[in-house]
Amino acid sequence: MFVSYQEYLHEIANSLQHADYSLTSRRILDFLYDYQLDKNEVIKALSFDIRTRYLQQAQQQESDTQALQLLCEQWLQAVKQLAIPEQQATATSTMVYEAHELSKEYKSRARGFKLEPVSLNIQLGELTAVVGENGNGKTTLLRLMAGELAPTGGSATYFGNDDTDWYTTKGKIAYIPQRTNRWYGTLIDNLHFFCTINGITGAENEDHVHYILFRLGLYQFRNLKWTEISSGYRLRFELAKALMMRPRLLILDEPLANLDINAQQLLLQDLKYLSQSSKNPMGVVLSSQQLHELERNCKNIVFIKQGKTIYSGEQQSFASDRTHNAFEIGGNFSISDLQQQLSSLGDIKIVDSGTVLIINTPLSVDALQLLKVITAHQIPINYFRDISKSTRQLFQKDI
Amino acid sequence: MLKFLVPSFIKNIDKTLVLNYPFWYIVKLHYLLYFTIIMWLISYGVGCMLPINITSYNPEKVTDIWIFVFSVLGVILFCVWMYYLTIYNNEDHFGKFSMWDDTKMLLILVIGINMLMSFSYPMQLRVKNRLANTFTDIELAQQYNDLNLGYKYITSDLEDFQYCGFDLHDNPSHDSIINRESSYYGKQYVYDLTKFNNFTRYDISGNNYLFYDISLFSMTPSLVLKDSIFRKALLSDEAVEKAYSLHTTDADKLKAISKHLNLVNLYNRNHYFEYTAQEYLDNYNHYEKNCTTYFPDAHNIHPQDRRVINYLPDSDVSAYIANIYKAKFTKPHVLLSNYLWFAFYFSFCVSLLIIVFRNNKWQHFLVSAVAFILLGIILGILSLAFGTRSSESKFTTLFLITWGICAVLSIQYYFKKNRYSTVKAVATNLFYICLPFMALIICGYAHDVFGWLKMENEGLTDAFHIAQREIMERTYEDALFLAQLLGIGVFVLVVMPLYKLFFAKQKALPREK
Repeated sequence: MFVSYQEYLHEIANSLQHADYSLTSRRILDFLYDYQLDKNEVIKALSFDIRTRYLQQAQQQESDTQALQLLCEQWLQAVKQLAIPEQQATATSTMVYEAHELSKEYKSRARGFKLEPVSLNIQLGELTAVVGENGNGKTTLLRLMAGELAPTGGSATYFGNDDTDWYTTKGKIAYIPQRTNRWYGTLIDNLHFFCTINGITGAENEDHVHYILFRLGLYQFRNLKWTEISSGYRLRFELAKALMMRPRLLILDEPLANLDINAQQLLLQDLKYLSQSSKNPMGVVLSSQQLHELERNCKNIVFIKQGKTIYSGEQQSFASDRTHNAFEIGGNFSISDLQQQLSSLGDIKIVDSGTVLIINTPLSVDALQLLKVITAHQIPINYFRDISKSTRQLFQKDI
Repeated sequence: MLKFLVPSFIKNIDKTLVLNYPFWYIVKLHYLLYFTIIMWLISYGVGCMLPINITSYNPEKVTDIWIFVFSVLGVILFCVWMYYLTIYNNEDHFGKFSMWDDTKMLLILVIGINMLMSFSYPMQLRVKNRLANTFTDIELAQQYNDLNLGYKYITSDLEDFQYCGFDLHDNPSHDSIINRESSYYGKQYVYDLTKFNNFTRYDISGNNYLFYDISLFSMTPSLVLKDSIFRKALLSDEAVEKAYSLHTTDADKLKAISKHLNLVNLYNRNHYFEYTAQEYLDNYNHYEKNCTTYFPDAHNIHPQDRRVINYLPDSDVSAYIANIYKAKFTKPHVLLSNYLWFAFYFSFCVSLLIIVFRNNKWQHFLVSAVAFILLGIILGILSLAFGTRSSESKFTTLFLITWGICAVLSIQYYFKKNRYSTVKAVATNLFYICLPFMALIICGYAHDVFGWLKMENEGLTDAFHIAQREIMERTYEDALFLAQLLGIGVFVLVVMPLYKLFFAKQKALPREK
């Protein structure tokens, strides 16, 4: 689960080889932080220099990356010469959250919404996605997990501790709601303050704040206030604030909603890496409608439909007992044409989901076979996705 | 907002505090001290520049507008301070805190609010100081002496200025004559200047001339010590009488009148004197010669005897000189116990509200405030509806019952809490906010309703019971004082730390929706 020293270096060298300086510079900082190399002034200066230069280049859209490449190689050389002991995960237990038959009923709600009993486990270093249609109980579940809401039934254990002192527990949970509350003062003041109240003081405070600011690419915005930033950056600011408390459980409600596609992928990638930090690992839970992005990055999936948990478990295990395969396909053709051209595949069923068609095939037909038939018939497709193991299947067209 | 006014050393302090001492970063005491010192300097400067002189009849007219300006600045800074106090809060983010944080915060708030209230003090003290330094102590005493030693000869209307007669058929007391009590008007009087051996003299305690009474330099126990230069130089009543007896010739009297008039002239530079010193002396001699016998219709004295009318603005001079005297020898109002009690209770109550606000979500603070007001109204109505004998004690009874219910709910909530309850949170706020004053209220209630340390006045004739009653009254006053100290002391040192833990944990409790 946690990235080892050798894996880190391999990953950094690999990303450098592909000239992915965004990832390289971020992982260099992660490495610095995880292996506490900030005492080594040369490595520290080099690491921050790499990230600063990358951010400057990205901002100015410069394509000359030679200097950056050189710096990264220098860094790799310098690090390889160090005798770095393997870092062990600091957490004694990997269990972050365990819910058993947790339920919530809003008596005052006119429609009398009820979240049916749900059981789930969250482990350190794992991303868990809560998916479902709007108004089906995702936020309710996240708020229950964050200790914002009192459950109507069931029980929950945080960090393997049965006796919940809510103040201490919540000090280890960072919850970022969909609509973040307004905060006051500059970002850097807030970050320093958050650090201090969580016991990180003095030089360590400054280092930690700098690390987060650079790591999340917020350094240039450090003196801005809430009103001076876009909603996309507000989320990053919230994330930065949350990371100040070194949480063990990070809960984000619809974090991808206001982000462009690049920012979405960057955030998910960051969450994945940050959760796997050997110094401060955490369990991450997030809700979103961006199914495919979530499924690519999250280990666990919780699917809620009208308050009922349809699925809760590993993403890889989803639909392992399925009776058919399903594929999304888009292009300039009609259902009847497609039906006719794919008839050789046996009993297939095609449903129009609105923007794309969903083809349900027998288990014996996999994506490769289907694509072969499509190619053979020269069907003009512009979109194809295998959703056989995706919770996408659970979304049905209601209207 | 006030960034451009903040020097770099304050920003450096800010940085150090935010990195190491979150509590002190939140309270922003360094900013408060900095701005208070600036305001004090400005205030002192204003006090130096305000156009005052010995004829500043009422310096408050000059300082009032500035007191208002400094008060507004104080309120603005208070609002800014409150803004910073509320935007950073450890417990909102489940950070580290100490159980003594609220106690420390209360202390700082009380000091801070008093500092904000003090912006105009240097100006007021400087004005007082400037006025006090107009004359030396000996000069001022001499002026009082000059006024007194010439006053007897500056006669005008008998009724207004030389009323020293009394009803022959009555037996008025000496004080009644001196004080010209109105009950003697309309009766028959004797105006006998030979008996003019007591008069309302210019007096340093002159209660008639309290021009500083409003707020600036309230009259206080005199700071003039018995052996001070001023006291030694000031002629006593006996000394004045003796000095008068030494005025045997017209020349002596004329000299005394001239000194008096010169002093009037000093303070009333533009005053037009209708009469010369010699004319005042002639007038006095006329009265002394003619008004020695019984006047059957003295109240409507013969026009011939009305020699001088509207002679000089006596009270203005008295006011001016009294102002200087008070500026010299009275305590500034900021040191008066009344003011200090007011300042303490005001700042304590405001601080308490701020602490409750910080310990709650603003919505629940608002609900608590509304509940407090509504409960007050409801209890008032109920006490009127049920109270036949004493609505006030009924109100207190109902209030104590309500507070007791809140206390039970709060303590129950304190020890058994696993989810947030708005009702119990509001009850806790009501219980908490009344707590420092409860010892005092309970003492008063026991006194009024159960007769604790109380003895009825009616029917007490013998000295023993009267003395006993007085002792009880004094014991009760002591008990009230002790109740105030104990109530607030126990609250600040015991309840606040315990409830700090409670309030912090309450913030973390899961809610129903």
